[in-house]
Amino acid sequence: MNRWWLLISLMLPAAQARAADVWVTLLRCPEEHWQQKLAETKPDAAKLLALAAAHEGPEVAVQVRLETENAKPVRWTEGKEMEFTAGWISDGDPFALKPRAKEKRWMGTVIEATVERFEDEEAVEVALNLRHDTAAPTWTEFTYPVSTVVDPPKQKTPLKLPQFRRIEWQGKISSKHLKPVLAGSLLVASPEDKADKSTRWFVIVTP
Amino acid sequence: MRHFILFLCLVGGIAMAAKPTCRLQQTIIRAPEGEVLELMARGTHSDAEVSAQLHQWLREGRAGMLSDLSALRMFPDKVVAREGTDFMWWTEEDQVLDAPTALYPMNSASFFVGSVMEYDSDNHAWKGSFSPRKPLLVYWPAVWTRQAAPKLDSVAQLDRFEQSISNKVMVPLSGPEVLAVFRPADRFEQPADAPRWLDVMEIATETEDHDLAAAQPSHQRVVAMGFAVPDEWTDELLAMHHEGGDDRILNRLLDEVKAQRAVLAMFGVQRVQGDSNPRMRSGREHAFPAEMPTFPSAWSAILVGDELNVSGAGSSGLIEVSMRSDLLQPPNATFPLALHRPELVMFWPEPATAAFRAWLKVPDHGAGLAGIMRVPDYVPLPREMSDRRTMVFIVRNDLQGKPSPPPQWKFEGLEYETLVYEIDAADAAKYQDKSPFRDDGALLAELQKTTGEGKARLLSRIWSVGDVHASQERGYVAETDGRDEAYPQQYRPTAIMQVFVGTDFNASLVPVAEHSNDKVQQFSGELTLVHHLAQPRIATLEQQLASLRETAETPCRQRFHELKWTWKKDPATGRPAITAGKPYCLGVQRDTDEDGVSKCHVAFVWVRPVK
Repeated sequence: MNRWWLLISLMLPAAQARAADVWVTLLRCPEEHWQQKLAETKPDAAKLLALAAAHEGPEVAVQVRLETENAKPVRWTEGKEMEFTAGWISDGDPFALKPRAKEKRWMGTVIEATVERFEDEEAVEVALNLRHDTAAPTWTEFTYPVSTVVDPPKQKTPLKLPQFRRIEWQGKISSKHLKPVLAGSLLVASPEDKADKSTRWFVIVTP
Repeated sequence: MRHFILFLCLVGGIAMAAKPTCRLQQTIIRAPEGEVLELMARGTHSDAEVSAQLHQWLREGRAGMLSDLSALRMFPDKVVAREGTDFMWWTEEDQVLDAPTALYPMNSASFFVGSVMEYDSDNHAWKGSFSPRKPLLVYWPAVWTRQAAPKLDSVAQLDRFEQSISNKVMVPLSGPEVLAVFRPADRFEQPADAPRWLDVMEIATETEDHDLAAAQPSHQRVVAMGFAVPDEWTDELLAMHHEGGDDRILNRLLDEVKAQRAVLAMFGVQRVQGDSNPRMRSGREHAFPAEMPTFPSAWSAILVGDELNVSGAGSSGLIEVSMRSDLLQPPNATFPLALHRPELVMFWPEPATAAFRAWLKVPDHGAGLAGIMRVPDYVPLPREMSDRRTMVFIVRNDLQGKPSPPPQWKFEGLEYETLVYEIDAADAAKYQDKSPFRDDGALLAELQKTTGEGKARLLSRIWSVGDVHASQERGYVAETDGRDEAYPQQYRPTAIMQVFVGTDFNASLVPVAEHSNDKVQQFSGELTLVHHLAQPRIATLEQQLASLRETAETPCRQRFHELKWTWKKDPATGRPAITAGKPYCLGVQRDTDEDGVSKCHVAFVWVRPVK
């Protein structure tokens, strides 16, 4: 994402191509930086976007212009579909398990939005549903079958099921005077993973 | 028609106008237990002051922020902010028909672990949750005993840790508020000497509509606590209560916790606004095999931790509190399954818990004693509570905002006291006398004198304003798949029955005004008192196999040393009903101990209206 897009997004009210278009931006910021430099002031969407454009703390994870007709839902995705085994079956030999059920999951970002623009009030309402995977999937590994036969003729089958680390935001917001709006923020911290630095995420909608 | 279209346009224009917005924020701050306890339970700190102190600790590095979610929402609408991990885990297993000794996962499903904030304007429902750690993989033994030489295997299950609250909150708020305070869901996973923490869930709103925020109705911050104290404190604490000194009791207990002479054994805080009825859970969802426990075919889960439900009645200080806490990590009972093969076992969790339910009136910035009871000696406790077996349940109330008018109805709370004595069998007859002229007061006075002489023994004493409970769940084999002639030294339990072993008192009495003399108050309703004398001797493997040899499929009958008294007002008996302030003899119960010695026990109860 280059900084020109960010500057354009700040000037969007004057530059909108279609009546119902909005920009959705997902910023991330190291929590340490947030606490030291930004936490004392009231969170402000325009300021966060400006800081991201200047590479001073927050950085852009996702930024997209949603082109839609007024009040019509739109869906945007970025990433790729992942398929994994979610269940197994045995054809009689419990030591030879085969995949039975496959599931698909979109890895990356999914944004669904419906935008309503009120021209006379310089206002928009945006119903937004955003999901973003913040890390690559990890796996819980285990072995099967559970078997109490005395001399297993074969080794157990190593199985694994995935874990998906994500953030999600659902809601409806409005912007008066066509200003960027901070829809939400999410602190991603894990008391167990002390080596991981906590990260704060910001969902910003720019009419 | 033209006017109608104009009307529709106007209405449509109003409806289409952008609606006002409000920013919601939910934060979880982990801070030292002792300091949060003082902040919540002593003094008169408002929620804003609590918040300021927590943020000061954050700046000083004495507290940590575990979760911080915010969302802008419109009036009216629903918002969800969530961060964490979708875990896939198996939910259904299958057994290979040709090889019944094999299980494998057939289906799986996703569950979420992390932080969640949900708010729904339609019903003001605020749901928040937090997972302090990843799920834990637990291995359970799996044995198929219907074969010549069984092998021990294990089956993996996930235990989840979650702190959750479900409440009703009118927004916007006039300032930061405490929505709940949890003991960490993974507290039993920490080393015994590790620092102890409490997690404060704080909520705040930001809106341009300051009039709306200022118009917030008041609410109560309700703190429910259980303290473990030495047995000899009971008389002194009850004397303080009868002098109207519940606040002094709480302050004394807080001092004793600081001095490490008492232990905080139960703790939870809820925000109560009118009929918001908040529900709180914090703990480990501990999975265990619910069917076919030697070779599991279905799983269930128990919450190992704390549950707190509170109901209020405006801001008048009338509160109904229901709380349950595990006292330690549930020990696993081990059931051997084969003679000469001690490694072939199955496990069963046997949690030890304390619980109370109280309906009481607590003054603003004051405390109300809810119960005092002793945890029986045979119930396992953590080391720091081993010589502090008396539990003191107490509730604190802090009004946030202006008081509302008291309810029109009169509060009719009752307090109960029960005593259970072991008596000489020769004395039993006088307590079983059904005569309406029996003088229970005189009987008790005589019994107490006899106790002083060492001829009777006080086994249990309870004081409460509602229900109280302290016990351990014990499991025993209730069903097997029968005798197997081919493998007579092995057996296969197919169902475990759970029974609590401990002390339990519950009462639902109400005063009745059926006497012409108003000074004599009597009660209707029902009460039950259960007290176990000892842990049961769970049948051994040898006993189970002997029973199967005799009966083909029936496991040993399990004996429990249970004493149970129930009272229900029944005018047909001719006995006077329970009268306020006077002891009432509930009768005699007999039990034969493991050595075959028969013993008699008598119970008394007092009921008094709360002053």
